[in-house]
Parts: sequence; C-alpha cells; structure tokens
Amino acid sequence: MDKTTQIAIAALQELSATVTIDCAVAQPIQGNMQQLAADRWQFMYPSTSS
Amino acid sequence: MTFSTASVQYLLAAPNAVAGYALPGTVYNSNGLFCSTTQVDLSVTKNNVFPDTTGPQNAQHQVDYQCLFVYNSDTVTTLTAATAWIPTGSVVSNAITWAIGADPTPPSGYTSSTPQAVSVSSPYIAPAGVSTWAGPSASLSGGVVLGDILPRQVAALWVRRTATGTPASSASFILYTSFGTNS
Repeated sequence: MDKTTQIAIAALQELSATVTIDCAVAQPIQGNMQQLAADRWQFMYPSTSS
Repeated sequence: MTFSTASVQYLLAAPNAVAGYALPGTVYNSNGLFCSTTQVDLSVTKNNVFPDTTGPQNAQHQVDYQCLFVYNSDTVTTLTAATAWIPTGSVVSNAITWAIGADPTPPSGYTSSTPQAVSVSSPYIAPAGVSTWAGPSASLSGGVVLGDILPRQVAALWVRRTATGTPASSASFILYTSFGTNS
C-alpha cells in the first residue's frame, strides 16, 4: 500500500527593515588639539576638571 | 495576522537604565547596556544617531561608536537568522568609513533586567567583545549575524564611524536588517 505523506512547507519570506544614518563632516582643520583633548576628557569624565 | 516590517524597530540605547525599554534614549549617548523606549528618528535621518563630525575631529580621523537595538515588536513572528548589513550602493560619500558589529550579548526579552548589550563610558571607546566589524558589502552574506530574534526580543549591534579627513555635507548609509519569516 502506498502511503503518502503530505508535508506542509511554509513559504519563507525574506524581508528587510532599514534605517538611514547620516551626518555632515566638516573640512578637516588642525584645531587646538590640546583643547580638543580637554573637551574629550570633559565629555568622558564630566564631574572632573581636566 | 500578516507580519509587517514596521514591527521591526531600531531603538537607541539607555546606558543608565536598569532594565530594557524603561528609559528614553538620546542621540550620541547610545552607549549600550539596555534598549531605550526611543526609536531612531526615521523622519530626519541626519544626526539621528551621530552628530556632525567637526573639523578637528575629521583632521585626526576620529573613531566613535553607537549602539542600536533591533526590536521585534511583533507578538507572533520570529525574525529568523537576522543579519545586519550595509549595502555598498547605499553609502553616500567617502567622508566616513562605516562599519557594524554584532554585540556579543544574545537576543533577549525587550524588558529584561539582565544587560542586553555591553556598554561603553563614551562614544570614543570601542565596545568589548565585538570581534568582527563588517563594512559595506554587495549582499547580506557580508553582514553580521544577529541570530533569531523572537517576538518581543531585542538584538544589539554597534555602528562604528571613522572620519577619513574628507569633508561632506552628507555622509550616510542605509542599515539593513534582513531576516526570514514564516508569515
């Protein structure tokens, strides 16, 4: 006797969720690197002084 | 009910929270640990994750990082084999070198009180345990695997921005998270 097995195969959809990430980039300038370092320190450790 | 990609949200991180989806998030303080209640603003795109790069930062080729959570808000459907990637064609300008990395923390319930991602003390610190960074690629096979994201789970990923010394009024890319569903 033949036996038939039915296998239901769900259709697998491939989808994508997207987000656009954007910023502007200024002309590179050799700014006051000491001040830049101080600003970064202040950002990282706001409760202390540099 | 038919699944919609609108059920997949990108959330900023809340590094000061003690559980997921408990506090709002802010741009450039998306430093990991827990997901916030704040979605990445899809309406403005510019500065929705990173602020502009300044001239001195660009001159020194600054590298910084931000954490995003992919949130499956659907209550039924699993995002199977979710993979985040940056299609090469989506990148606008070479002023920034973009890359993404999967957080070592596996997907977790969106309100979990167990950290949902590693955290960093500032955007200038590289997240620990992110071993692979993927740049733009032609297909999702060049992306980073986030795994299966069950209903109401979040998976964390990191975006790395490297200034190249080139100016641009707009340096953007489209982050894709691709996945399979059965509905």
